Amino acid sequence: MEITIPKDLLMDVLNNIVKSFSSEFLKKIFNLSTKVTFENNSIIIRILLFRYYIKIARVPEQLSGIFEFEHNLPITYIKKDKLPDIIFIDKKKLYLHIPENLITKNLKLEKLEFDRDLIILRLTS
Amino acid sequence: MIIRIDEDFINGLIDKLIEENTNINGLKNINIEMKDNNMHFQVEVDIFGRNIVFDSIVNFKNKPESLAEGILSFALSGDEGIRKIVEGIFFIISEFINGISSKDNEVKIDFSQIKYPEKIKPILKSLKLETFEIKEKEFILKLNYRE
Repeated sequence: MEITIPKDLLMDVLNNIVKSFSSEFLKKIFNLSTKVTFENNSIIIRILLFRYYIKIARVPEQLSGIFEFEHNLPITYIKKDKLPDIIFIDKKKLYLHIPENLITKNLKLEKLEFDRDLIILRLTS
Repeated sequence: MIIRIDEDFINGLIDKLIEENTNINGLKNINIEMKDNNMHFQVEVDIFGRNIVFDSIVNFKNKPESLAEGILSFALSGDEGIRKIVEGIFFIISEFINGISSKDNEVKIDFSQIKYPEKIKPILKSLKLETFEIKEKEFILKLNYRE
């Protein structure tokens, strides 16, 4: 099974997340001049003069488990308590926890890639 | 966003979910096969010491609106025996998994009943299913983001 997510879709989702989970300041600057690129397994977000990245650091063997990303996001502008409880963020790392169920624990994670402006996730059963 | 799910992936999942976790006497193998833009269910049973493979074509009737809304439903065709077997298998699964029901040759999977984390649900609701097709042994789902 392969899931391909183009950049535009991620931008729409990000806009939605920023609208609901971040401070007024971030909301205002986010739409002004945001540029996103996916390359070398990193998502690079340029807002005004800032350059933020989220880079894949470690992924679990199965779909269920903890995905670890390195980042330099401005966490002071992120309302941590409003984030979905599957996401945990600290100064340098962002963790995504996919809960275990009958399906997620039986799927092997073959590939997660951020490249050529696509997110590609490949799972095998 | 494109999701491609191939035949081997589904069969692997069926093996893990059903065959490794249940033991229905006489039932040897359940498989799906995709051919000519259709999906078939194949069930291998052992009756009176003989191996018999039953085949049923799945007719999709309804597709869900998004990953968290709407119903995927399909009707089973073919021999009455296989229809009853497949309906029965889904009936057993429905006892354990919310949102799956099986009645009168029709299987329904209700996406609104799948449990997703509360804050993720609005995003999944906005991922609308545009097209759903079977092509060269793969399901191909195209989704768009619309609030």
